[in-house]
Amino acid sequence: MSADRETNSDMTHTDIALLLAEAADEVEIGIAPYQAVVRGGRRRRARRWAVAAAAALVVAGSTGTLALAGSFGGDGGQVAPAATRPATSDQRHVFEPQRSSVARGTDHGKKWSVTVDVWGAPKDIAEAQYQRSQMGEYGVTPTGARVAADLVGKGWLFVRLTVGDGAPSTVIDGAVEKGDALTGTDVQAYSMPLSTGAPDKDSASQRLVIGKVATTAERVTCTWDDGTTIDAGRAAPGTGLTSDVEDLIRPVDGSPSDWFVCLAPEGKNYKAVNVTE
Amino acid sequence: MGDRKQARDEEFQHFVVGRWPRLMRTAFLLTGEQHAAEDLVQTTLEQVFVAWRRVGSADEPEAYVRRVMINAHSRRHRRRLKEFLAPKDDSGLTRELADSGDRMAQADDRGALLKALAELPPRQREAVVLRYWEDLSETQAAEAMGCSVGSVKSNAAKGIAKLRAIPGLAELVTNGGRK
Repeated sequence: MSADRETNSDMTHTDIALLLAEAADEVEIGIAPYQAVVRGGRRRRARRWAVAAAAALVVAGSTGTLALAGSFGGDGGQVAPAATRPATSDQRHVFEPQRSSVARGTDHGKKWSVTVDVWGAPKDIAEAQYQRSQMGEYGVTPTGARVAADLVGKGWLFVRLTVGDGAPSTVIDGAVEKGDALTGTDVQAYSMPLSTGAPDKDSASQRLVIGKVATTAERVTCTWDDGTTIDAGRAAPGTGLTSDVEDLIRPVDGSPSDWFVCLAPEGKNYKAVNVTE
Repeated sequence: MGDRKQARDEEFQHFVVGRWPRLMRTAFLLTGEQHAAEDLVQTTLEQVFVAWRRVGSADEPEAYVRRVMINAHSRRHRRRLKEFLAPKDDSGLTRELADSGDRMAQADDRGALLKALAELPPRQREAVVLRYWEDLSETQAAEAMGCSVGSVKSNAAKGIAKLRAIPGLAELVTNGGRK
């Protein structure tokens, strides 16, 4: 047996194996709870997206309900308009993420920006281990992936918010797996404060909304708690992020879903978001 | 598209039903307790369900499943420092089987091994179970445990050494699994 092949020990391996087999026979096998496994699996899929503590998860869809089930299709299938997308490369970006700017603005004289980093899927443990150490260099930690093996076969996406001269903070992160792209009017959005002014009660309002939509979505409408709205339209193909740009839908390299950002004035809070066109 | 999904669902169902007994036995050795084993296998298969689209088409889905199970076991242990698997007394897991002299002796053997396994640190237990029950190579065990081959060697060797140091078990092993 293979254990004998690789370990040079005077312990009788066969005997240990025999004892283990006998001990294992002690368990009552029962009937495989297939339905319970599927229900549990669906629940897990719905929880897969983790939102950093500062961000409150808000989900909406013009269809009324929206499955939280994954929404990224890895590198396959749907390709967003090549706005700021770099030239196609064979690199899988396993050890260095693809970075896309989604929004940039100035609020109360303080600059803020939202970027999305997408790390490619490691093929094996060795790649995953190195990727994990590289993520450490970038100051990011994949939520829920406790060991390197959890990263194998899936990409990872980090949405990072930078305010003023501060260090970027991760506000959303999650696995990127094939075959889970958003379609139609599906939308997943996350709201959070954007503190650029004096620290007062208004600075905690949930006025920054970051979300993702299908690549076919042309317009997203963010509605605030006072009834006012802001529309985010699709950025014109080829538009770079050279100056302050907010309230736009933009492609993100490595993600088949596109991303958008809406920002309300201080004091307003997120209420709803819908794909309206 | 719908047909593909249905085919995948059926494949997963066959996988669950087919692998359940083996996974239960492995989980039982890892946890030492019936309900904990069921819980570990169900948790493992739920995670496999989420990734089935990718895992099902892989050459060796078993390798992925093992990795998920070992991760789940390790996580559980990290959350709860004191695992509940150790029988509180020598007869804990074997009492019901002891209906004849021979059966009694076998049950004692199993109980002694389970108790000894329970006393190993989880990584050593995982290494021993993967190497000697699952019969994996050191490389395969390392992949399942997400560690180096050296770490598997070290954990397996320490685990076996501790098992040998237990007088009752050493006697069992010396006598080919029988007292």
